[in-house]
Amino acid sequence: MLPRTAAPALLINYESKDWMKIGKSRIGNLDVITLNGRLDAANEHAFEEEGIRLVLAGARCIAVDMAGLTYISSAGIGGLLRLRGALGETGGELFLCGAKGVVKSVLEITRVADMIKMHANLADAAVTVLPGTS
Amino acid sequence: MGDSESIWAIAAGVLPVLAFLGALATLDTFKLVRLGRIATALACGGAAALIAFALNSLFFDLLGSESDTYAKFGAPWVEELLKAAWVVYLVRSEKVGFMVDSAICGFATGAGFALVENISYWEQWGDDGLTLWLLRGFGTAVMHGGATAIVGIVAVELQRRGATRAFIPGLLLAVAIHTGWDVAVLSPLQASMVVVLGLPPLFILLFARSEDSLRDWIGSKLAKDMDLMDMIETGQFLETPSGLYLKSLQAFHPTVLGDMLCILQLTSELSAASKGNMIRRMAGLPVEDDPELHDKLKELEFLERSVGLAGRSALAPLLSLSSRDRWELKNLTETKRDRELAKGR
Repeated sequence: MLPRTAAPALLINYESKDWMKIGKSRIGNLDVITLNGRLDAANEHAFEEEGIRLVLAGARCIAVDMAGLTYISSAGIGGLLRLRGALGETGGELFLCGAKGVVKSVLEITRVADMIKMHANLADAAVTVLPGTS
Repeated sequence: MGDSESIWAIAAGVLPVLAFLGALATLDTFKLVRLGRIATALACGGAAALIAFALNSLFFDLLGSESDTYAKFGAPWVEELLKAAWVVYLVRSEKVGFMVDSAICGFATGAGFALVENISYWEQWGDDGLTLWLLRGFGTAVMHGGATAIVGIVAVELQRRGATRAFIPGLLLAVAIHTGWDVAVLSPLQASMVVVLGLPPLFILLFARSEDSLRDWIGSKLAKDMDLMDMIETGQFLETPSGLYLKSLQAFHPTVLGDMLCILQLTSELSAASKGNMIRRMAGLPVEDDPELHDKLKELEFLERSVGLAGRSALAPLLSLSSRDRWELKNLTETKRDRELAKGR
């Protein structure tokens, strides 16, 4: 059974724009960034800053939950790849989960799906990362 | 002559053309033309009249005894070219996309010209003879508006059909009408009657035809936009023939292919939003603010830079943006800008 340990008190939500909401939570040692809305050139830096902040704080496994994402362009992909690079330098790993519809299509056509591990949902990512969660 | 005669004279000289312009704006059920654009067109027409006055004065001085011939056969070219300049700019830059908006902008430009011309003549001639001002107000002024509206109507229709010098036939027609007026083929009263009785049904017919075409376009294009949006958003697009074409463009970097897909998504979203706005305006409902619009348009600019000219060319078969589609995106931008100006932001 999956430990849904993200306590409400730990959940930090803020809006970089009204139409891009970023949430942060933690499941065991898996840090989760939840994206809702559109990840575009105007707000990808907010996502990237949040990811880098987690890396600097010592995060080694970060999952980006894209279930609520409705749009991603090369600007957002660039942010994902830079975050993956920053995590790689510290021996960490980035996971993408929950991508669907056009977001999934963009990740496929840009071949990001070949570079970053993708999971159907956050639960699958957690099972992979966290021992004893299945 | 007293003050009341002056008021009647000036009113007769300027009000008919403004009333005609107001009627045209009322017939625009989709509210394609906003007040700001009508005011700009009036101002541009007024500026054209001042430039025409300077040029005509120069030619009069140069030609001396031939100036009467110039007034009949030369001045119409100068005046119609100057009036047409603003309309041609609007059509070429796709700021107008239909017969309705091009006719209103054209008529407003001609009306602006006529207002300045009539006020200038009123200063020279005084208010002697109300009949003169009635003829100038109902006849000459409406002729100026109508002639420039014809330039716009013909230009936008020919441009839609892909003509390269779309403004020339309309301009020639406008010059012919203006020359006929100045040569006085008909008496001033007969000519004014032709204008007053002939133009309204002509415009009503043209507007009805244009609005039918607009309705058909909105209906068919909205359905296409919604289908495309649905396919893209549900991730089915890449399996369609269009998606397979996109995936086949292996010469492009994968991120460029991703941005091409994003362009299709954004364009269909914006296109559907614009048609939604038009339908709301037609129904007399206020156009709602889309808080994401500014960033979507910025994102579209970013994507177009990202894919470059080659990418945009490769995408052309999928986008197939007609002049109306490009007008639509500009219209969306201007609607937002107008609303921001109204809010004093």
